Amino acid sequence: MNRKVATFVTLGCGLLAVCAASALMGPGLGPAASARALGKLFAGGVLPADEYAIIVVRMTRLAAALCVGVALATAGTSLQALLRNPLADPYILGIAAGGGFGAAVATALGLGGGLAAFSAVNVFAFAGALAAVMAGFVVARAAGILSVHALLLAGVMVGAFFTSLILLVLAVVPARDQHAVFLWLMGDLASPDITPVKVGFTAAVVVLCSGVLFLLARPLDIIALGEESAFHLGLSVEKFKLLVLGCAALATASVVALAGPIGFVGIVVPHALRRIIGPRHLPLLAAAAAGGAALVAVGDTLVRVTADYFNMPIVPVGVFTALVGAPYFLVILRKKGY
Amino acid sequence: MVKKGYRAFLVTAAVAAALAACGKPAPRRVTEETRSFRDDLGRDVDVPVAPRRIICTSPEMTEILFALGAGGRVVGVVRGCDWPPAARELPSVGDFSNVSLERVAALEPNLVIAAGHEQNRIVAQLERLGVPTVAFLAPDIASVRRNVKAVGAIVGEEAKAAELVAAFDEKISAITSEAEKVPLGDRPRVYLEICPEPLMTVAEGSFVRDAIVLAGGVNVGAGLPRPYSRIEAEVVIARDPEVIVLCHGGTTAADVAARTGWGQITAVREKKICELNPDLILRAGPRLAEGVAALYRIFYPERAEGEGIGES
Amino acid sequence: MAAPLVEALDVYFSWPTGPAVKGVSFAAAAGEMVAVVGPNGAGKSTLLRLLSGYLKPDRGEVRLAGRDIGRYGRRDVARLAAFVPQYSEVNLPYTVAELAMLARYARLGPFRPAGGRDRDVVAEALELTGVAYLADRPVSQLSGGEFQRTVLARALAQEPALIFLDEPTAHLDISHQVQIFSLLKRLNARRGLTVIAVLHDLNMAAAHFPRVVLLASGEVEADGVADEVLAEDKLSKVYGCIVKTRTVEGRRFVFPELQQ
Repeated sequence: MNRKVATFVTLGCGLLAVCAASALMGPGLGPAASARALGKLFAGGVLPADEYAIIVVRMTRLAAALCVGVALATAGTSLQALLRNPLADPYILGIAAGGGFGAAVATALGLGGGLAAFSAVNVFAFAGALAAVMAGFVVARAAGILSVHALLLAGVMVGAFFTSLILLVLAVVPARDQHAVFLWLMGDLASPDITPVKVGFTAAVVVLCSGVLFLLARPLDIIALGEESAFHLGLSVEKFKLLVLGCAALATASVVALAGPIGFVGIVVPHALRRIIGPRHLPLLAAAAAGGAALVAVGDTLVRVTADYFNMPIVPVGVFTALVGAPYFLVILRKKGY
Repeated sequence: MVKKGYRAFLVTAAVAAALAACGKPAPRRVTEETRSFRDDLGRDVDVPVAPRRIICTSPEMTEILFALGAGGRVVGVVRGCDWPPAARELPSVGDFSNVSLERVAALEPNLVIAAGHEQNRIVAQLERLGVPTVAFLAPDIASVRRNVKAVGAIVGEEAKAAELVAAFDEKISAITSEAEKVPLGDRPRVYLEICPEPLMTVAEGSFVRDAIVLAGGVNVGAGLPRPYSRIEAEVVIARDPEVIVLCHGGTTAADVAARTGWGQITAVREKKICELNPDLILRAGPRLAEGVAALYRIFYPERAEGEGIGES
Repeated sequence: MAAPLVEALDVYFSWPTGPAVKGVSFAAAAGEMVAVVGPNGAGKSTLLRLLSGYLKPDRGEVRLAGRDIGRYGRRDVARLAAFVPQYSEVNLPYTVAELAMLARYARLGPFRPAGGRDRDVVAEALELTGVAYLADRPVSQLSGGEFQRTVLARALAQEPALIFLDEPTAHLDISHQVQIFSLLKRLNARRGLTVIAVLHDLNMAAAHFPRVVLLASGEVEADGVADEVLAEDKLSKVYGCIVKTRTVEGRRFVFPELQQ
C-alpha cells in the first residue's frame, strides 16, 4: 500500500515539475526571464508581445504533450486489459499506419484547406487512422461477436498494409515531401501549426474518451479475467468491447492526427506502472494518465533544451520515447520474462 | 504430332538466336585524349578533353553548362533540371536523390557531372563502371565562381566562363556596394524559410546565408548547428525578424501569420512576408545573382527603386 | 416437481465441427443438486453453458425462473447464477481477495463503491472455501488447487441462487475434493443453493449428488436417482466398455473392467 501511495505522490509531483520545466525552459527565453514573465502573467500584468508569444507557444506545446500522453497511456491500459495482452499498444490496431497513410496522401497531393481549425493533413490522418480501425473491426467481427484474437491479428495486417502504402507514396513523391512525411511518422510536437484551437479540440476528445474509460475501470478489471468469466460475472461483453475499443481508438486517432504517432508511451507507461500500482484499473488508469502525460512532456522539453544547449539538431519527441521505451522493455523482458 | 511441334520449336529458337545476334553492337571504346581533374571531393579523375556526351545530375550544374553554351553536349539530366527550358526536353536519368545507374549507362556518357555529398553513392558507382564522374560542392557563394570556371575548363569554354563570372561578380558587387552603405544597426533581421514542416532555415556554411548577408540582411538563423538546420518556433519569435522570406512554395503569408505566437513578430505585423522563387536562391548557379538582387529589393524596397535595381 | 429454477426445452446446439446437443430437455428446481455425467464429447460442458446463457441454442429455449434467459439483463442473470469453469487463467496479479471482490459487480454495477456488506460476503466466501488465509496473495502464486478454490469463492461471493460447475475438482487432491463437495452439500442443505455440476468422476457423482443426468452423444440417456442412472447396463452402453458397480459401506462404486 505504501509503495502505491508513494508512486502516486511521485507521479503527481513529477507531473507538476515537468509542467513547470516545460513552461520555463526553451531556447527563446531563459528560465529566469520565463519565471518573471509567468509571474507577471498570473498577477494579471501585461507582458511584452514577444515574451507573451513565447509563453503561448510553450503552453500550447505543453498542452499538446499532455493530451498525447493521457490519450496514449489510457488507451494502452484499456487495450491491454481488453486484449488480455500486456504488450498491447494503441497502435496495434493499425492506427499509426493508417494515420501515416492519410498524412502522406495529403502531403503528396499538396492539399490546402482542411476542416475548421484543422489542416488537410490533420483531417486525412484522422480519417486514415479510423479507417484502419474500421477495417480491422469489420474483419474481426462475425455474427455479432468481436473476436479479440482476430482483431489483434487483423490490426497487425492492416498496419502492415497501410505501411506499404506509405512506402509507395514515399517512393513517388519529391524529396521535400518525403522529408515532411518522414518527420510526421516520427511524431513531432514542434510544429507551429499546432495551434491552441487544435489542441483545445483534441483535449476535449481526449478528456471525453479517457473519462469514459475511467468510468469503466471495474468492468476492465473483469474483462481481464477472460470473456467467459466476465460474461458470467454479469458484464455485457460485446457492448463493453465496442465501447472500450471506440474510446481507445478515438482518443488515439485524435492525438495521432495532431502530432503524428508518438511511440512507446501507450505500451511502456501502463506496463511499468502495473508492476507498482497493481492490476486494478481505477488506480492504474489514473497513474497511467499522469505518467503518460509526464513522459511526453519530459521528452518534448528535453529535446528542446538539449538542442539549444548543446547546439545539436532538433530531434522529434517520438525518437526520445523510443530511446527510453525500447531499452526499458528489453531490460524488463530479460529480468522478468514479461 | 509431337515431332512436328519439336521442329517448329527448333526453327523458332534458331530465328530468335539470329535476331539476338543482330542486336545493338557493343559500344566502341574510342581512346579519347584525357587530362586529370581534381574535383571537390578530392578525387583525381581522368576527364576527356572535349566531352561530347555529358550527363548532369545536378540542377545548378545544368544551369551552368547551358549558360556556358555547352547545352548541346548534354545528353541526360535528372528530373528537376528545369532551367533553361531546353533542359526539360532532355532524357531523364532519375531524380536528384535517386539516380538510375542503368539509364546513365544506357546513354553512354563520356562525362558525368554530379553534386557532392548527396550523390556520393552514385559517384562511387559510376567510378566503378569506369565512367568519368566529377562532383562539385557549393558551400559558399564563391563556389559559384569556382565551379563555373572549372566546368568551363572541362568543356573548353574558358572564355565564356570568364565572361559569366565577370557578369556574376558585377551584378553582385552592384548590390553589395549599396548594401554596405547601410549601417549594421539598420540592416533588417531576416528569417529565410527553406522548409515549413519542419521549420528550417540557413546558417553559416550555406551559400544562401552568404546571399542574405551580401544583400544587406542579418540572418536570424546565425549560429545554428548546420548550414541547413531546423529552428525552434520560439527562437524565431525571440529573434524577431523584420523580414520573412519563404523559399518553398508550400505555405502562404497568411499561413505563416496564423502560426501560434507568430502574430506579433515584426515581419508579420508589418506584413513583410515575401515569397521568393526557390530556384533563384537555392541553386548555386549564375542565377544566384538574380536571387541576391531579389533579396536586396525585398530588404530595401525604397533604396532599390531609387537605384533602379530592377529585374535583370 | 416444484416450478423449475432452470430448464432447457428441447434444446439443440451445434459447433462448427458438428452437433453437440440434440434435443435435450432438462429441468432443475430450486434446491436440487444435479450431476451431469457422460463420456468425452457427450456435450456436457456445452449443455452447462447453454443453461448458464453463455451459448444461445440453435433451436429450443432455455428458461431461468420461468422466463426466457435471453430476456434477462446480464447482471440480472449474474445475480441469480454463478459459473465455475474448469480452466481459468488470470495473468494479472490480482490478490485472492481482489478477485473475489470482482464478483460483487453483479450487484454493485460499475460505479457503486464496495461497502461493508460486500466485504462481509467476500470474507465469508473465502472462509467457506478455505482460502481466507491466502487473501492477500497474488493469484499467480497459487497452486492449481488453491486457485480453483479461489474461483469457487468468487462464484459464492456473487450470492447466487444457482451455481454451475464444470469439473470443479479436476485439479484438487482427494481431501480438497471432499471438502468442496461437502461445502456444496452444506450450502445446498442450509441455504437452498441449487447446484448443477458436470463431473468426470462417476464415483463422486454417486457419493454426493442425489440426482444424476447421463448424457451421451448430445442426448439425455438417463435422468434420475443416482442408483438407477449409474447402472451397469446403461454405463457400459454409453462408455463402450464393460462397467461394473459395487456397493461398499453403503456407497455405490463404479469401475471399468480391466482389459487383458
